[in-house]
Amino acid sequence: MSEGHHHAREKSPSELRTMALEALLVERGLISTDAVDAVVELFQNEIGPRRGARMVARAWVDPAYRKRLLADGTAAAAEMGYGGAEGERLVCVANTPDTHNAIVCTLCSCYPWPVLGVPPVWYKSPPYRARMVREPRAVLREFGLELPDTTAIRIWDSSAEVRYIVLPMRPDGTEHLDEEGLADLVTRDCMVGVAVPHVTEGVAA
Amino acid sequence: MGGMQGFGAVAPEPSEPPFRERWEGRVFGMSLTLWATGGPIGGMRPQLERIETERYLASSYYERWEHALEVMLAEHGVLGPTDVDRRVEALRAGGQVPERSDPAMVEAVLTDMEPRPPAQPEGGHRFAAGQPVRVRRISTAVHNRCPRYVRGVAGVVERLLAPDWLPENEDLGEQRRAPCYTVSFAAADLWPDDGAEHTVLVDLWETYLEEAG
Repeated sequence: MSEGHHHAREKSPSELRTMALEALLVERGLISTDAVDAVVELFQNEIGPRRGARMVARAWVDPAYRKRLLADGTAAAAEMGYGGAEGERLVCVANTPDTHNAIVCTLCSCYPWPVLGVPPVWYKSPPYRARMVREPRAVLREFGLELPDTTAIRIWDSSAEVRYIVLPMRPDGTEHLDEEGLADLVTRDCMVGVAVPHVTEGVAA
Repeated sequence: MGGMQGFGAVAPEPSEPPFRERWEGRVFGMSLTLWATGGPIGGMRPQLERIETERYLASSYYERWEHALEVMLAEHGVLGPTDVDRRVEALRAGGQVPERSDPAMVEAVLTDMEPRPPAQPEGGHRFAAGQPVRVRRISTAVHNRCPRYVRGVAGVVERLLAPDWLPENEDLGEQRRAPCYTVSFAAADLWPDDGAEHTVLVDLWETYLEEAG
């Protein structure tokens, strides 16, 4: 990441090749620069883990929505206006006092874009993809999550066309929070299953 | 790469932006635009998996996407062998990326990220929920999505999933759906010497499975 320090604005090979591709595709009429802009803006400003957090918060306050979410994640996302590419077959798996779920894609880096946005670098990294299926307790510990030995761990490898999202348990001490306040507690990592929601004094975790 | 050993710790990074560098967003945006408009590219996964192993491991996610885009566009006859190299030279000499506006294309990419009607569910599953199955020891060089770490291992059908396009189709030039399953594997069956007790759930096409026993 740092080899360009002394020559500011020296473009990397990937940056140059990307620009070359964009120029060639624009000239051939296959893309427009404003369509590419629209995708980037969508994923920078609108599509991200806040969407999944709203679904989780709704499931926490509305038992009927929770039931629909667990029965058909795609339809429950569509209810909120979320859907599209990489979210056509959404399955939500619920944590319970006995069971913890987490998601991974060992083959590439499949991820439920419409409800979590684009995946973080660690999710796409070889250590996570290789180790999460084999030694999840060790990996979760690296995220600071220590689970009791009695908790069953279920790791979902998104190897076909289903995309997964974890429904974490609602933390104690959140009875006074409304849906937006609850959504503040639900981080991306909670919905991948490498963290669980916490209540911190005064501030959302 | 499920189960491969020799990697270090996972490195979580707080507050990571969606795209760390501008070009990463452009690669992502170009790919989605081409997919949303039915452009001359395929699904990208076969091309990603054909990247030589050493290069694959040394590349970042969006470096692999950029490379796969070049390969797909060349395969579809859009790019000649030296087009990108020559344009890179032109850019080094001060050339710019031309701007182009196309409201219909913008509409297409936005629609692609909106809810859509569910695909028609079809049945035809050979295996039932709760049934023991074994993953075939697939050794074909054709692109497939059967993770290596479950091949030859027995599990139990957890859930039936709607039939989906076979990943092999693109390589074989045919289009066929096959039923899919979530199959549950005990870690002790996947890695008997590890002493782990968790469960791994893997989504597999029916063509990868046979009856266990």
